[in-house]
Formats: sequence, C-alpha cells, structure tokens
Amino acid sequence: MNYEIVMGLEVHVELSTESKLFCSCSAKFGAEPNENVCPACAGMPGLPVRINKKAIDLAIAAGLVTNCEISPVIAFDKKNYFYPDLPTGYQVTQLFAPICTNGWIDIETEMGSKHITLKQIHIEEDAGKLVHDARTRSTLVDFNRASVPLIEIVSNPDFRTAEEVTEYLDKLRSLLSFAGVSDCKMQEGSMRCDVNISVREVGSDILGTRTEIKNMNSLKAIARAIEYESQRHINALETGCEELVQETRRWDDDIGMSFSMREKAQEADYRYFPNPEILPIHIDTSWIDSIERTLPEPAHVRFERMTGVLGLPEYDSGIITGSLNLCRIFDEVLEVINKPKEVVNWIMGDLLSITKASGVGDDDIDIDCKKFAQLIGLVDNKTINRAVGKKVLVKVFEEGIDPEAYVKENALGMVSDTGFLEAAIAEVIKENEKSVSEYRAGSQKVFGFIVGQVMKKTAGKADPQTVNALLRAKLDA
Amino acid sequence: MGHFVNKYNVDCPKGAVRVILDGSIMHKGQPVTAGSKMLEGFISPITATAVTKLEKADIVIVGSAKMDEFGVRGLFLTDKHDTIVCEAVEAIASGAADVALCNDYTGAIGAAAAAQNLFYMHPTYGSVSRYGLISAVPSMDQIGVVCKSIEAGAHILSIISGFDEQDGVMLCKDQPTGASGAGKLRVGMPHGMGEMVSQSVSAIFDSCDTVEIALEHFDVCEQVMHILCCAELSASISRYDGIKFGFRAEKYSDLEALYKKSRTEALGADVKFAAIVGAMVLSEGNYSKYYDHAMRIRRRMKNALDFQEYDAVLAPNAHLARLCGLPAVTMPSDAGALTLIANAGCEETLYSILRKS
Repeated sequence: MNYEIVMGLEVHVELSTESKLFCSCSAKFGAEPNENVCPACAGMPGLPVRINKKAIDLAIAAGLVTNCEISPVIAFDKKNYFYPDLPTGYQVTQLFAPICTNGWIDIETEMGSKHITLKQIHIEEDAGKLVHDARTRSTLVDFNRASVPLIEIVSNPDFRTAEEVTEYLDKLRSLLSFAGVSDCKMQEGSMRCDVNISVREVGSDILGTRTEIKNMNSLKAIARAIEYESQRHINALETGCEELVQETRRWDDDIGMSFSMREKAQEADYRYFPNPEILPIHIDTSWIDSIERTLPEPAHVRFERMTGVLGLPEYDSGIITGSLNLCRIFDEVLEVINKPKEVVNWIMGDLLSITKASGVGDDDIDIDCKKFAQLIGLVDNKTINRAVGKKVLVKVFEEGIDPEAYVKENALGMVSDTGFLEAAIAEVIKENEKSVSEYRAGSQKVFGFIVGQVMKKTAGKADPQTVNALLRAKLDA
Repeated sequence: MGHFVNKYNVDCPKGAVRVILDGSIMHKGQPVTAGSKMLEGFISPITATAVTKLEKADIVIVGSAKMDEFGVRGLFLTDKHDTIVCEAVEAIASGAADVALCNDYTGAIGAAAAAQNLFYMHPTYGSVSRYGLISAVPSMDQIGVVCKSIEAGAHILSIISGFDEQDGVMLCKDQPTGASGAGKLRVGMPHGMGEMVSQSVSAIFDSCDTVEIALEHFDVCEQVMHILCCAELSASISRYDGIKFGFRAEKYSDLEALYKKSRTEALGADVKFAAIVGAMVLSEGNYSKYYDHAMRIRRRMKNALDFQEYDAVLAPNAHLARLCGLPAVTMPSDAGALTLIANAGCEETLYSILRKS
C-alpha cells in the first residue's frame, strides 16, 4: 500500500518587542530567573491591561510578508486553564477575531516549488517556564517569559514531506526575521513548531487519525520526528499493532521517539470567551500602509535582484540573503564601492572566513562598514595588494582600526617600483636555483612558489601583477 | 474597628471630606483582600489612580471597609427586597466617613445605600480609572461613590474621573455632558414603573416629562447579569491558585491537590458557586446557549435604548445601567431603591434631574 503523509503546522514566534504584551517589563531573552517580572505579569490583581502597540505592528508585518488579509477589527479572548506557568489562570489569545487570515507562502523543494496556504495568524501571550529541580525534587517557576507577545501562524494541512516542512520553516524564518518580526531562534525558543500529522492511502481524500507532535527544537529534530511519527502511523495502519488515537505527543529527540502527552478526550475545555479587558482594535489602511513602508526588501526578492540585475552567483547571493545583517553590510559597502562582485567577494571570501574562525554568527557580525569599504577601496586603487588587504581587514574587524592610517603607519603600501622588485627577483633566483631550473624545464607549477618567495622578500607588499610580469620576463629570457 | 477592615491613623482637618475605600481598592503598602481569605496578608503593590487623585485634592482617606468576597453576594439575593450588609454604606450612614468608593457591579451596594437613605452614584463605564481596583467582572467593574447627597457624590466623581493611560478600557476624550437643561427633561418609564413612582418619589419628577417606554429584553436583565457576571468572575479569580501569592493550603500531595485544597479552603460559598456557574456557561456545549446568548441580548438591549426619545430611564434596579455601561444614580424611595440611568457621559443629566428634588 502506498501512503501519503498529511501535515499542518502551528508555528509560534516570539515578537521582537522591547517590552511585554501588557506591561513595561523587558521581553528580552537571557535574564536571570524572574528578573523581568512586575505585579501585572505576575498575575496580581488590580492592574488593568494595556496592549503593546508594537506587538500589533509586528503581527501586521508578519501578515504582510505572508500575503495574509489583515482584519479591520481584531479582538482578544481568554483561554482558561490552570497551570503554574500561567500567572492569571487564563491565556490572552485570539480565537474569534485573529489579526491575519488566508495567507500563503511559496517554497522551493527538490520536487519543484509548492504553494503553502495559511489559515490564520493570531497574537497571544506566552507563558512562563517551569524548571524542575531534581536535587530538591521541586519545581520552580520563572515568569520572565510570561506575557511576552507571540504570534501563532497556523497553516492548512498542505504539507506532504518533511522537506516541505523544513523548507517552509526556513522560508518563514527568513521572511519574519527580515521584517523584524522576530529573531526566530529555535534554540532559544523564540520559534517553536507543532506538527499535526496524519497518514492516508494515496488517492484517498479522507484524512486519517491526527496526532500533534510538540517539543522539537531544531529543523533536524522536526524532520526526525516526522519520519518517526509517520512511520508509527503507517505501522499501525498496516499491522494493527496499535490503535491510532487523536492525541498530543511529545517528541524526545535523544531517544528518537514520540510519547503520548494527552488524548483528545482528556483535553481541557478551555472555555474561551471574549476578553472584556481589551476593547476591539480597529486597524485601518493607513496603519497597514505605515507598517508596509518600513518593511525591507524580502530575502527572495533580494535574491532575484542579486542573481539577476547584479549578476552575482546564486551560492553567494544565497549566503548574503540568509542574513539580514549580511544584507545590511553588503548594502552599506556597496554604497561606497559600487562593484557588487567585488563587494560580495570580500564578504564571502574574507570577512566570513575571519568571522567564522572567531565563531561569530552572520547575524552578529559587527563591523564598521565605512572602514570596510575604505579598505576595499585601498586594494581597488592599488594602494595595497589583496593579501595585505586581508590582513588589514582582520584589524578592522577585531580592533576597528582606520585602514588608511594603519597602512600609512605600518608602511604597507604596495611596491611596484621595478628597480626594487628586480633586485628582489634577482636574489630569489639566486637562492632558488633548483626551482628555477625546474621551471625552465617546463614546470609551471613551481612558478607560483617562486612568486611567493618574491612576495616574502618584499614583506608581502609587492604588486603581484608587476612581480609576475618581471619574473616571467626574467625566467623566460 | 466597626465598619473598617483597616482604619488609618490619620488626622482629619475640620471640614475635610473623609473617604472610606471599599476593600477592593488598593492603597500602596496597605493590606487589601477584596473580602477574600485568598488575599489574606496581601499588600497593595500600587495605589489606585482614584485614590491618588483624591489625595492630591486634599481629601482624607480614613481607611478601608469590610466587603463581601469579591462583591459577589449581590448576585445571590433570593428576594428582591433583600439587601446585602455593606460596611462601606454603614460607614457613611453612621458618619464614620462622608463618601465611600465602591465597585458596585451587581447593583446591590446601591440598594443597600438606598435602604439607608443614601445615594450610590455609578459613573459611565470607563470614566474612572480602574488601576488599583481588584477586578471582579471587568466588563462592568467601575468605581462609584456612596454619598449623602448628589452634590457630595458629584464632587468626588469630578475629582476621580478622567483618562488614565494605565487602564486600557477608558473613555479617551471627555464625553458630551448631555442635556444642558433647555426645556423639560424627559424621563422614560419602563412598563410598570409609573405606579412605583406615583407612590413614592413623584416629587422628583414633577419638573420632568415622563414617558412610558418599552425596553426590549428588560424582563431578562437579571438572568443576563447572572450569566455574564459569573462567566467573567470565574476567569477573574483563576489567578488565585495558591501558586504565586495569597493563600496556599498547608498540606497537598501534588499540583492538583494544591489547587483544589487552596481554593476549597480559601474561597467562600458564593464565589465558588459563581465560579462553577461561570465555568458552566462558558463550557463547550453551553457557550452559545448561555454566554453568547446573554451577550447578544446585552448588545440588543443597548442598541434598543434611544436617548433621543428620553433623557433618562428610571428602573427598579441597576442591571440595565451595568450591562450597558451607563451612568446611574441609585436612590431611596418609599417603594425601595430606584435607579435613574442616563446616556453614556451624561452624568450631568442625572444631577440636574435629581437636584431639582
């Protein structure tokens, strides 16, 4: 029997607001436990809620980059359940009037491009975090994350393969991080994905029993979880070894298995109702326009432009458009040095090899782009050669030196004085008789070595082109 | 202590207005419990905006009054002539204070005030900040005043009203203040009210035209109130779970037992009943039958009011005013409490009718 996997995704993304959804506490990740907590987000009584407008701005931005309709009127609801990480005993969310509906995203897979449709995006508040302390056998609660604004992006059941899921998440991450909606870091929990999965015979239009898998914190874990869970469903259908029930399952990536958390029948009745503490909010077109104006060029549009009009390689363009920060660096340098290919080479070949060696992620590269551009200019106008340029770039990145002053102070200027170079060449020929005779015997390979010796002799400052020409003339004579 | 749950040791200059706070209004550093064992030992983390405004106006806060738990008792009076015992009202009646700030979402405080020959003045929903008010029923929560005269109450309301960015449900701008007194004001009397008025307070309305009016769903106000108050209250008190602050049971075997024992031991019978009814009307099979149905009636009720036809409505209770967020004054009469209701923002209309009495 041939089976088809049918999946829909619920992706939670923490919004990049400075403060929480209803109070002025910081929403930043990484604080000490319960450092960012006030009476309001600890659920104390007496504090009416005021909604953070920035959260709505960012949710609108999320809707725009995913081709959603933005609702003219939105409202919030209370979802009631007891859990120690939920300070008020209800979660503020949007069930009845979500902010965005009917979106879509196109993704590229090995099977070609695919159109994924979105049911809705809604805003809600995050809960706190429980920390189980094995030593004291107690559970502690950290409310730093409580009331941090989230959006939940709900797709239709359009996915058929794990590849589609991971491509979609990658595209979503790119779209949302470019739009400044979220930093979308799965490891830090600012992007989380639940997969609703069912299996059916190919050709059937009836959906099979669905399970929801949670707790995957990397794209790889998601792919593994889908592989495991779909196989579990298929085994159950084929062998009848277990009965599939509609349930929520927790993925354990260490063990590589999913485990039942709760069955549908055990699920709480959340008793949703419109939150009377937040009045409906009207979103008019001028509000939407004002958000649209602030959106940067999306990664895929930029990719088209880089590979098209700018004529850059797909690989390079893919790396640059993979990070908003690299795009910014590219743009800022390009503004000074209007040579796209040159700028990309410097970023790809030089800057990234330096930053990778020091373990700095693409999003965290902090370099003075004016100085970076100035350095490229120095090489471009032959003030220094490329090898020296690369060394100076390390200094620019690590110490923020001024390249022009640095080159001058350290006398790194390129030497193309033929008299000086000829003298150096003569010395090298004398010192490397063996290599010279190999070259004259027809070995081209050894030529590079001899050039290297000349460069060494000139402390790396010689103009390689002049050296090449002079050396050829000398050796071939 | 008498009416007080917390009596401040303050000097009161002669002639100063003395205000007592209901037990759900916060004053930073002072205990506040909203009458619940759940909040025993809880200290106000903030001062209510209304209190801050009063203090700035040199009005003396004399303490806070005992109250029934979360003010919910008023929902469960079985006889319509029953009233609750409200210590904030008693404090005004006995002269321990001049004005009381209360959140009378059920209308029962107003009725208790009228029984003591006092007034309860409830401003337009969203006109007084609820920052520092322990919430019970957010769609109706509103600070109002118990007072001996319309003038005294209006004075306090004028001080505590006004936009506060710390409350997300506030009227943004100053609302129109309603009829300016040109010509006779018209008071709408729902069916049956005419007789009550003729027996008792007709003098008040001598200067007004009275018009008999038909109010859609007026007969089910009380049921709608019950459903909505219980639903909202059930969510509002969910935060009292024994985890973070307030009461926690001493012995529990696991998390569920912690919740159950803490809430069982600390919440009173009325609150438990309201929470159960609230959970019931919001549950999956009942939501549209009860909660949503009640909300639809509430909207229709509000839409059916036509303040072009009349300037105020006289009603036997405050339900219509609370459900529609309208300003109202509950006053004494021979036939029990009566509530006069005006359009949103039109407190002055009420004052001008009642001052003529």
